[in-house]
Amino acid sequence: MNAVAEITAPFSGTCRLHTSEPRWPTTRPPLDAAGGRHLLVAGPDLASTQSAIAWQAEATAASAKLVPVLADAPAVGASLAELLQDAPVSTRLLVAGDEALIARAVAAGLAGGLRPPDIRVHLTDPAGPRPVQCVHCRAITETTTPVDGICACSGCGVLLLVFPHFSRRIGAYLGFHAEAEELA
Amino acid sequence: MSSTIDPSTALPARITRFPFPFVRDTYRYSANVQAAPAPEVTAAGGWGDVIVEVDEHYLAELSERDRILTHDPARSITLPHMAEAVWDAVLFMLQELHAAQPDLTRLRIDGDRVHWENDLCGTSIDFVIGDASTLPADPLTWLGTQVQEDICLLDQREGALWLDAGLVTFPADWSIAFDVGMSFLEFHGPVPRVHEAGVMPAAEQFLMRLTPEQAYRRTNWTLTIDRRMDVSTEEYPVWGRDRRLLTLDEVPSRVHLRVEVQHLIRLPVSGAVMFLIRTSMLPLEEVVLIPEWAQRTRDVIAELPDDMADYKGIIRYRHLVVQWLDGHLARAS
Amino acid sequence: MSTVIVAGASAIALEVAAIEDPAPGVRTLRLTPAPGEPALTPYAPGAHVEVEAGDRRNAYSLIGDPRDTSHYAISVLRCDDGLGGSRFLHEQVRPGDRLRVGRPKSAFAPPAAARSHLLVAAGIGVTPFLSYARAFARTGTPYALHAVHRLGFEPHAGLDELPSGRVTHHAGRDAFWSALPELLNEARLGTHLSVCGPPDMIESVLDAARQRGWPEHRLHSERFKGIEAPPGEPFRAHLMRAGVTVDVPSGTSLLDALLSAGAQVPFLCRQGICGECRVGVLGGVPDHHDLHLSQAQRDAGNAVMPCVSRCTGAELDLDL
Repeated sequence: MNAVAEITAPFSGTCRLHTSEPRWPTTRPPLDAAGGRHLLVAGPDLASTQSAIAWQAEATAASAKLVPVLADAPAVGASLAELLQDAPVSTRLLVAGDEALIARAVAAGLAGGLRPPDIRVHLTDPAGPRPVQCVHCRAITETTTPVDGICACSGCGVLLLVFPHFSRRIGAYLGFHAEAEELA
Repeated sequence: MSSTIDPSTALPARITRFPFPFVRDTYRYSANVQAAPAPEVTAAGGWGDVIVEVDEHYLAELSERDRILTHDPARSITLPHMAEAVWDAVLFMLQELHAAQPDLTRLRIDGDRVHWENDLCGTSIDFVIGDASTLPADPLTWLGTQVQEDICLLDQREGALWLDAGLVTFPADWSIAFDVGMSFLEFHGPVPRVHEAGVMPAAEQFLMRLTPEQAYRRTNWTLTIDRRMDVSTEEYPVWGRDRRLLTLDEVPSRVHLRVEVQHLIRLPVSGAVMFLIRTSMLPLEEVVLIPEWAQRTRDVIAELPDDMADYKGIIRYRHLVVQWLDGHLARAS
Repeated sequence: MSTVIVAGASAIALEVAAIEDPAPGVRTLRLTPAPGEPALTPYAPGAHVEVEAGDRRNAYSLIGDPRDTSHYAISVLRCDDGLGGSRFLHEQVRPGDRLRVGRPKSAFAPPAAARSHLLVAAGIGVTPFLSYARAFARTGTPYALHAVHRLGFEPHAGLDELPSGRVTHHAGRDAFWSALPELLNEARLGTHLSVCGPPDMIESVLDAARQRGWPEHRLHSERFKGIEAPPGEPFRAHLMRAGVTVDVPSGTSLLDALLSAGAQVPFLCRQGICGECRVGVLGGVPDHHDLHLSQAQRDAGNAVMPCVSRCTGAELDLDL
């Protein structure tokens, strides 16, 4: 393994082993057996469904309650917010899906009072869409552009560099003008 | 070359009190913390005897902060659980500003009631600690109308520090609006090298053990083209092109050595860690008035490894800086 | 009491302004700065101070409003089978006496991010929560305080000053244990549980919470930290290149010993963080207390941070 290439991204010189860039597990973690009530967010793809079924079995074995969050991806945030409003302390969150769904669910979970140890995720589609926030107009764009790639901002139209810096609170990668230094 | 400055030259305070950051001919990231306040002697004079510093740019920088916040209020953000920490910060900063400027400020604290007068900017106000409605803005934003420092407040929980409030209008290429809510290790994620060296976990451990009895400080530095306080990531499309367009003859007047004096303070009631960032800038034409500074700045910038020069945003024009400093040093010898 | 004993570098002399006995066996001291002493500082809710009580130094929670710097107040439970500190404060101290009191230390602060607090106190364990309650009244933070009393004992007096509806009294542990499951099940997300009392009770309450799905990061309990970092055993440092031997007494850092012996050791933080004072080790086993060296570097055993680290044996050979 070429350690230098592994550590240093070509564009930014950013350390790639220790950034805020999330490394969502691509295998399904077991649910927290200590939890009493698990909110489940799962994408429509087969792998996510399989994870949901496996978590359901684990919940049953642990005599815990599993509450599926039945919402389309855009509505997941609002549904979770409502479910968390009056939730008991034993509540946990399980998410299986692409990065866009995970980012939404995690941000809504944190805003609703969960903390990172209360949340378990399974990234089932690493090639799927990811959210990027434009630091200039603050619109969030969902794109399949990989980290370090360039996509157009859905808000202001500028070309954004998808930077390896992720905010769980916002639920998005940092995006900034990719060609600011070349502007006239 | 003489190593002392003739006191009769009467250099302005922006030079004599400039926190020149280079203590060696090379620069690497380190925790470089030391107890504060503590006077630091430089080749031009000294700094560091107070925590809250007022300089000739006071009114201009407060007015610039006001302009930035009007344009982008998201540069000041207080997550709900940080209200107590902000009140701690208000009291700490007013007390320190009063200690540094006893003749121009008056502070009276009677229980929860505070009377504050600041002749530097013509403020006279009575407010109640814990009652934000007694201030003309949210407390953190209001505090930013009294001091030049940018202010970050970190909550300590779950074995880590969390950047949960901040008023940052003068950032060196980062965004408080994006980074708020992140852990200490997360918001330092983009900094190269420090992770391999274990600097950041050690620094976080250090901060988590701070007590209210002893403040600490460190310095950080970069170069900025023009005296532009707001080189935020938000404004990158405004200032980024200067890195490409800079010419050799513009280097002495436009390139500034930008130094952040960062104070690290445990606040007493909230237990939050306050991170003050005070930015000072000096154009290279003034830096080189001090011969030691000219040589040292040249050596550090010439030697800086590419990844660090890239992170600091100077890789595109540092050859011009070194070329100009070399020319200056040749002429001066 | 007229003599003043030295207690820690930052301790100050406070005058006993008032004495009350709010409950049988409990004495509350109101302390104000003696003339010429520095002003009191605000403190974190739940903070404690070390008080010189005769020949003992005991830690007591501050029970007032954390932002009120006009006075400090502590409540002392008389322990007749203790080491004598509490007996001294009960029997010997009179209004107008002076006590050496250390600066407040925060070891049990309420988690700021909690949306509400479930507080459980047994007996005198209620004292840290009195300053919590005063701070929460200011910030408007919701809380419920459950005070467990031994049968036949009266509750601590400060409790009746708290807003009604916030405090529930449990007469005896059995009454509390039967109420606890519902409290834990009913608490809403964002609630944190803090417990102060005897160690066995703390563990039982925390275990009950864990069994009902409370994650570890929402559980807190009072543990007083050690009074101060241990001074360490004396040892000898050999400066191999200089051919000099330096005695490092207990209570003196290796760095200070080296500096006073004239060794040139650069230093900055004196906290084991910055790495500036690193010294090579040629023999002997360092006792590391720093945050600078990695585990691998510690295992190599060839460097030491003399500002905080010492020696496991009697001798350390240094590359100086």
